[in-house]
Amino acid sequence: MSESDRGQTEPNAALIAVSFMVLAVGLFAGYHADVIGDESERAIERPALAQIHDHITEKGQFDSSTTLRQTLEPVHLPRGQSVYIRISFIDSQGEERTVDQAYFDGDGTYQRARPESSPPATARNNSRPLVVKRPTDRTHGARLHVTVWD
Amino acid sequence: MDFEAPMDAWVVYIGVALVSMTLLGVALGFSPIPPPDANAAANTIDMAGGSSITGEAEYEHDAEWFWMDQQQIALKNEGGKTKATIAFGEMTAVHYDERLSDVLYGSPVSEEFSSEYEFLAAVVAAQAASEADRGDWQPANGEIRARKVIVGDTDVILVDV
Repeated sequence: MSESDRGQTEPNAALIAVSFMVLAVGLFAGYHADVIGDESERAIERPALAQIHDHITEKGQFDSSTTLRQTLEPVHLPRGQSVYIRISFIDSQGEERTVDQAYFDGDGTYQRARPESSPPATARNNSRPLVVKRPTDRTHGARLHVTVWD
Repeated sequence: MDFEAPMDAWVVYIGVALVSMTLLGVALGFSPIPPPDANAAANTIDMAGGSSITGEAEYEHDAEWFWMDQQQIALKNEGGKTKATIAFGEMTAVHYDERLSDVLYGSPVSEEFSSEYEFLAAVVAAQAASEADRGDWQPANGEIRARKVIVGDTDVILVDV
């Protein structure tokens, strides 16, 4: 390349031009921020908790002489989703105790009491209180936990 | 202070021009409105369909077009198209039968149909029609409304989009 093809550019002018470009891109990105990545996540755990609660309780009480495995059928569970259900309460010693638990695969088929490994980080949880009726007809408060994942 | 620095001017001009044209292309490629939120639509339908008793749910959307079959709903506008699958039950699109639409918007089944059998027959016909029209975009009305109706042992999820 000969010396005559070379030129000199004022760095100040170039810096101002690039700054304007960066500012324009920033304004554009800000204006369109609501256009990008605005889709909701699927919130299956909410209806799943309601559906499961309604099917395992009678007048708001879970009869501990039954089991989640016996009571729940595939139609009560979210289609194509693995579901881990647990009913627990805190005893007088402050220890959390499990009344019943069940893990169903994406077909709604019972697999085992709980998953072999922890649900993935993308799993969604929800819980609500319920009353557990013991065989002695005594009742106590507990909590129904539902975890759902792909 | 000396701000002077040597640069090959024509290389800089061509480079900046290429970057500018690329950014312009990206900017023009963006739609001014976001695509519709099919996941929110499916969440709404699942809130109604996932309840063990009769339930209703509504969601205002910005889709101009939609199609749905018994388990999937797809929405489209100038911003793009999205699709989601419901997790509970099967949907019945009410735009095939005005009586189903009336039930969705609060009319009792007994007022629109002479028997439960007639209602369920209309449901089956509408579901078959939506399966046949799967993928055919139809105009949307701006609001998704879902209602779960229990007739005998059968759960029906009526949906309007």
